[in-house]
Amino acid sequence: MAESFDMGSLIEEFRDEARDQMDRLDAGLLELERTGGLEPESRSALLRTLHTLKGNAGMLGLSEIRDYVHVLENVLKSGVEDPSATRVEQLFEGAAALRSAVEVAGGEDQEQASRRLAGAAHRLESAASTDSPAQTSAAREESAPSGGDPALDVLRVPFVKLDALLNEVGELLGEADALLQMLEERGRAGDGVGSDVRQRAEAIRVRGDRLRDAAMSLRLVPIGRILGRFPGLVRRVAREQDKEATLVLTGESTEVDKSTADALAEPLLHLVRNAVDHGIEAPAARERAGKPRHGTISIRASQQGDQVRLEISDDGAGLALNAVRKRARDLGIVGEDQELSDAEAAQLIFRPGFSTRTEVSTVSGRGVGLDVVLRTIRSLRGDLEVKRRPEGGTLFRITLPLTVAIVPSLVFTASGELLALPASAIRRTVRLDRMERVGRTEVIRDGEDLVPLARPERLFGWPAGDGDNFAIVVRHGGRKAAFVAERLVDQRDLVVKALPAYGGRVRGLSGGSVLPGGQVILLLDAAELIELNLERRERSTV
Amino acid sequence: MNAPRKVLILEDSPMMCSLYRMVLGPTGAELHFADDGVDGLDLAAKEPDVDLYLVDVNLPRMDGIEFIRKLRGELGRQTQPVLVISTECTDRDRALAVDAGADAYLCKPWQPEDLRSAIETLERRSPA
Repeated sequence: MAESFDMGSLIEEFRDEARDQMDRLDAGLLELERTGGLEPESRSALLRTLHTLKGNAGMLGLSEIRDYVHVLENVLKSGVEDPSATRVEQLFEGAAALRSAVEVAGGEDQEQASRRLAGAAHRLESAASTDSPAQTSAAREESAPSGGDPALDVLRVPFVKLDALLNEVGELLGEADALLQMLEERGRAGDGVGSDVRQRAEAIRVRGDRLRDAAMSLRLVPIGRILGRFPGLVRRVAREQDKEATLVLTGESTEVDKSTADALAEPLLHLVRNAVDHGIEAPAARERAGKPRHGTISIRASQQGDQVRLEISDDGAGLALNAVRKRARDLGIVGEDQELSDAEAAQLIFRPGFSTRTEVSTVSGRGVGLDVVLRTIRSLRGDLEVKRRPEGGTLFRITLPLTVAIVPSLVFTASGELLALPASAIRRTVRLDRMERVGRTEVIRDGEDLVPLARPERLFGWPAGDGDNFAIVVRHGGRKAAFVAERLVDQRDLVVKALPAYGGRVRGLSGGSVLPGGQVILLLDAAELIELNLERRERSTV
Repeated sequence: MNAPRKVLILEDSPMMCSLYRMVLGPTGAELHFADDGVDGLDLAAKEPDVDLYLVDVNLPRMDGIEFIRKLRGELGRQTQPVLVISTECTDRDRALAVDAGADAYLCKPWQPEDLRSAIETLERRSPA
């Protein structure tokens, strides 16, 4: 038992040493990811390092750490040539779990980190056993967690099967809604429908909602899965630039839709590199500014209601907002006499081709700008904002819907098309006869605000509808637009799919939903509608 | 129960070195550390009166097994007791160590009393 040693002082020594060992592990995994293999020399050095880590963990009775490293050793020994992307993710995920477990070892939070690490070991191992059963069977016997832990009882299901399930759930909810509506109309028309029938129908709807939530939760994975690679990456990129920086991860167990997690890896990589490249200053400059030489970048994930929030921040120099303002003037984006607020100026860095740097950085340059990051986030029906942190440095905040496959929406017609807007973006619907004119602009009053009308014929070039009756006021990031509609159909949960990419994505549309009869509903993106509306207005007034 | 007066420890993990200091320090023994086989041989050459070697197998540059072979061969230290301490504990690992010239084998993780009794056994066997 480890109690016979003075754990207090030893655990700190263990941690110090393990941090170093895990840096080497990260470096090894990055090499593996980059080149598809490990040089024999780095492979044996890495195995030796891991062996020491395993022995040390064993001496202190840190059995989950010991077991994980043991599984990892076996995986590396049995060969990892040309690992699949999933395999690499798994290794990085495990490395991040290992790091967390080491940081809290011997403390009160030890148990949760240990469970996560045991889960990572199990996944690594079950994948390894399908790769090469002979080499890992011994490891499995030795370190298989004692049965009964529900977190480890895992079934792998192909994504297409989940999609089929979700589709059926969506259809079922649609049928339940239709039934309820039918019952209501019958009731209004005086055709007697027993209240017991209605109650049953409502019960089906309630159960359907729960079924939907349960089905949706099957698609959720912890965001930590894609964050594992970042700590090593930050240290490496910083070193290349003679800077010092570490990455701190919080909320790695926050769950997001699997497809969102996959699509987020690239934009997050860009933002994290951007933070090292443009955020964190050189050590000497930091010292002059009275800061520690060592910069800190953090990724904080959390769930806020039905949204997931990811904040990427650094304690660097912060956005050079005056340079941004000057650049905006030089480019003619804003007039000479126009004053931009800090928030407005900050948001300009997401414009295509907008950069205040004259030199192209080898690190986060690569021809991919923040505009691409923003576009990717938008395509996930999320949003990206940037602000100066009051305590110094920059904060990028990504907000994403928790679930992406089913969107509660308002369905309506405009220009003869069947359209929908996410209920979360809608402020209210107003009758169009309350429209006013301010100069040449058509507006609707929403409380104190005058909201510009967005006509589909102007935004998308569709034929003008006959008999426009309603304006749907949508809001995004403090801006609004009133989208003109002919007829409001109903409010329902849409099972949304990405639109087939015939020659690229149409701005303003974020997906489509197919009704049982084969009819397609197009889902509009509120943020892009508002932007499009502003641009079209600018153009028409110039 | 003659406690060894001078011990050479081949161990590259700072934490393990602390652990040895904790367990063996109170016996009054003089502890010398080397963090790989190459340094270990240099140190052994300089300190001919070491009366116990504690050797970890997994070491950079030259591993513990190679160290023992050279200690017994090149340096001609035939009688001083060598205790191998390792996480690898198969019969094959033990045989390799004994073949190279080790006198005893202790598996990690060990408890302080395991280490002490392994050393005592060695002392009794070869009163240096």
